[in-house]
Amino acid sequence: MLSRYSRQVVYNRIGEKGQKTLLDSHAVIIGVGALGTVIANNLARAGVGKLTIIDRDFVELSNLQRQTLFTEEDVKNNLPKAEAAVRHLKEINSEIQLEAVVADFNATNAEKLIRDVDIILDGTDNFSTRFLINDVALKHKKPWVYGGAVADTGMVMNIIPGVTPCFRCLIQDPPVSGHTQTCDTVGVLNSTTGIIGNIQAVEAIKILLKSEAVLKGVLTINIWQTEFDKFEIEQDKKCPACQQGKYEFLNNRTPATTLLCGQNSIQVLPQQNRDISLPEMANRLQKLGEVEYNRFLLRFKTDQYTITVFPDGRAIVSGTENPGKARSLYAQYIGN
Amino acid sequence: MIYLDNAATSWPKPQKVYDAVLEYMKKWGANPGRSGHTMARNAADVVFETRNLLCELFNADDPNRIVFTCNATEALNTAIKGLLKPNDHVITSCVEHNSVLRPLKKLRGKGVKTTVIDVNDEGIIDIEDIKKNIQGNTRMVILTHASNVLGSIQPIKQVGELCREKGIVFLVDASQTAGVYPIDIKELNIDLLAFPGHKGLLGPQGTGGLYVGEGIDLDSLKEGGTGSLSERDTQPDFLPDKLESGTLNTPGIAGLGAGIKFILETGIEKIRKHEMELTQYFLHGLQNMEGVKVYGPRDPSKQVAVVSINVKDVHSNEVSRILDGVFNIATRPGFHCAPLTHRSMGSLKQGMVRFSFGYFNTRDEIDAAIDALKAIQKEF
Repeated sequence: MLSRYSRQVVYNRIGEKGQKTLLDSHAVIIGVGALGTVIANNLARAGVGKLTIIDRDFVELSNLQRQTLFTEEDVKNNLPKAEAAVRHLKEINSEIQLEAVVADFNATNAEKLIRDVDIILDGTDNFSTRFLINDVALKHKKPWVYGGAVADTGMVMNIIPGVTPCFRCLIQDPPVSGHTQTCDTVGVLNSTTGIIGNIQAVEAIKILLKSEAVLKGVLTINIWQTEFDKFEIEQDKKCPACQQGKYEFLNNRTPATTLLCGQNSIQVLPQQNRDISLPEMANRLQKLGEVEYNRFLLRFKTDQYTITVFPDGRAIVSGTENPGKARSLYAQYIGN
Repeated sequence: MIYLDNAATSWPKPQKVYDAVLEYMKKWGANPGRSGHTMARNAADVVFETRNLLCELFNADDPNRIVFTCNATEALNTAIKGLLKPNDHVITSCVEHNSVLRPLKKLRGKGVKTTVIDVNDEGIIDIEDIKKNIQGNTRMVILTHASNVLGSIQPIKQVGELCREKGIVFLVDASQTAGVYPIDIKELNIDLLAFPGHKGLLGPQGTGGLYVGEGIDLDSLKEGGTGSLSERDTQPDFLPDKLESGTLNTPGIAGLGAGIKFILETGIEKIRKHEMELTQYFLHGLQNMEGVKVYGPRDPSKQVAVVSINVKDVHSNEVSRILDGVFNIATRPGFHCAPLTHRSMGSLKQGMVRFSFGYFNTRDEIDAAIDALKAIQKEF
């Protein structure tokens, strides 16, 4: 039974015992995009016994440049990413358990979705979900592996409750909406997401095997400059999450969207209201679609969607009645 | 914040409304009509006093025929579903709220026939359209007293006379008029009057009611504890108990009573006059404003203090968001739960931005709204 994993079994830091541990483990991958597909691919091939894959989006053509599990056929069939991923992973390894969850990972379902897992892998594209993952992971004492990638840079950090500093020790509060770079606005190289996803996967394996060699601190890469760097961070003694046990993101069950009384319109509310420079945003978005703006609002059209952004960071997404899709579009183009 | 969304919920309330809710909860917060002890009796008195005040306001004789509900929606559902049977025919208008249209849609599946009559450009029905649609099985006419989108006041006196003459039950949705426009159920021949507590009546949200005229027998929407005839396994057949199961929102009803007292003391004519002046002032300010389209009668004598507009082809959601985010003005965009009104006015794509004024709004606030609209229309 272990023969398919023979190259891992002969590797002395895993061995037969380690392989069995992996086969007994359950990992959840939150977001199966550029990072998530790489992570899922590696963990499935490596024989992590059960994988739960959560994503609210559907496969699109522009995903194929970097989201390694998906095919043109998936785009044609308009498959949810989680389901498409599971279908392909089954072809890769039919001996493990695979579960697709097509849903928005949020404060109302987070605890239920991670309760039975041994490790959480971050495949998200936005900060608000990461702060939520941090809270739920700390509360339930589950290790998680943060990964982020944009353009030619990336970052990985392991958060092991009770052992390492947490994500809020690194970044205290989510960055202001509209001021973060996203893969949709500044692009991303597939090698960046490939490397970051691969590192996240191996960190997960090390954590599952309780290896001493787990990455401590934060790894940063710049693949255009070919720079790899590691820095240590300190536990923030006043950290609201890991020191004070205040799980603000998990306890905030207020939906981030409201359905507007209008056809196909959803209002997205950022976590904090801030001043956004509409001219700057217009500049960033004009490569990606039709943009117009004035003193009061900016309208950005892409595919069948129109995103109207107001200077305080709120947005109205038209063209969908699906709050998850509206949040995805917001995360992609406005950033949060 | 300049609050111009009084057609949804009036705000602020008179101080006495806030005080009444708190005082009730602190002093008499027992279950009305359930136990005989002093606190429960005082609680029941608070409820009954509000019934009396409503009778005074609407010129009704029997306070027991005022049934408390959570809102006008529940009152309308009680009236519509409690009366209509398969094969009954109903006439209603296209300016009704979803709280009429959706129950009727549901009953259509159970064999109730509906005729929806249109309105003119001002948003007002033509009584002839009702006359010519009356059939042998026409059981009910349902009409809003004033459109929640256009403000247009409907000719309910004439419709009431017609219904009385033909023996048809007349249900009036007073959501936009109760408390701000005189309603005399006898003079207007109203059989069923549904009203919210949280709008013109100045009470808290979660209050409302239905006046059930003499000779009208409604089936209950729900059955349960009434504090009366508890030994029996069937719902009492007398009012208000038949239609009022479960503990009432007594703190809300105490507040509602204080709101109605305020209206009676101030005088409904004075309230109406102030709101007409504000409407006139706003309409005047909008006159000749470039890029702004005003819907409805554009005549304060023909409408309540509700004025809906659009700015060029900008979606109402966006205009309302700007009014809120930049100018601190609260309005209601979209379709106002009245899709047929918007279909009739051709605004299904854009919706409308609704401004609705209350007794506590001032001319300065209207000026601010007009200045904001001027600034907004310039940018598009």
